[in-house]
Amino acid sequence: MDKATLRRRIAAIEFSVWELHLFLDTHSDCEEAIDKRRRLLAEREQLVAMYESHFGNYYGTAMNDNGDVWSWVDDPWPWDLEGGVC
Amino acid sequence: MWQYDKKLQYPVKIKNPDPRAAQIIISQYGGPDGELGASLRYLSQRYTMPNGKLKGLLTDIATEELGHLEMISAMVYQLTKGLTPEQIKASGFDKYFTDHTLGVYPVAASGVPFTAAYIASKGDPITDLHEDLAAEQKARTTYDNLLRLIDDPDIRDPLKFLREREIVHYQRFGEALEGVVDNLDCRNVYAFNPSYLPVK
Repeated sequence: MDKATLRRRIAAIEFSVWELHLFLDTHSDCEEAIDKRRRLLAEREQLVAMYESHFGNYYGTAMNDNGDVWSWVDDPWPWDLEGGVC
Repeated sequence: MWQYDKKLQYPVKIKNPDPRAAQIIISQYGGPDGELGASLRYLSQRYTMPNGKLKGLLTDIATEELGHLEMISAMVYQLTKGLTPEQIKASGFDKYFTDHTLGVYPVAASGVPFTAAYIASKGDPITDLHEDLAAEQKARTTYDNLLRLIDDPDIRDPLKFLREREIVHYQRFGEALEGVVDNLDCRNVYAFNPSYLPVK
């Protein structure tokens, strides 16, 4: 999977996790939603690990893999047209 | 507290600047039914909600609205990036440009700046949840109007996503309101404030 496809896939899973989170706010006993959310979180963990092994920090809010560059301040930003990410 | 993820909730990639579109989309940033008012409304109301379920729901939806605020700002930024003075004059963007250049500032489509008068926080969960249900529908109508006026698929795609979110939030607030009403004292038949002193 290339970088953009992988990011897109992780973002889609994160959206599903969030949607289930809101659903659970008003349906706290729904075991199906709890189970689905747990499975999606496990899948996200795998994909983020895959992403970070090839392309570096996924969220861009911390040190890079070498721990010696403050990548948080690097371009692009989410609102940039070129290289901006979702 | 909050943490920031350096990403948008949904992609915004607008290839062609369009100052006319920017001038109307900015209403969902600082207009009467925009995302700034939405987040501030729920963040203010959550303190006097009667239980954890409602406090959690309002915190969550307010947080998502902050993400929507960021998407709308990204749209305005991309729609106005690199405009020439000729494009600014021809599109009518000159009125905004005079005061803000290409900075992102919370105003309605009409140019009226954001005001807290757009929101309510009444300290009564039934009153506040009705306000929230109406707010989601008003925001949905505003997105409908933007989609009636805009043809560019790059702009329509994130607007459609944001419109769908209003519908989902309306659903969740509806369930929350049902929960409050179902749990009222049996003598409270007219559904008045269950979290403050009874009215004399």
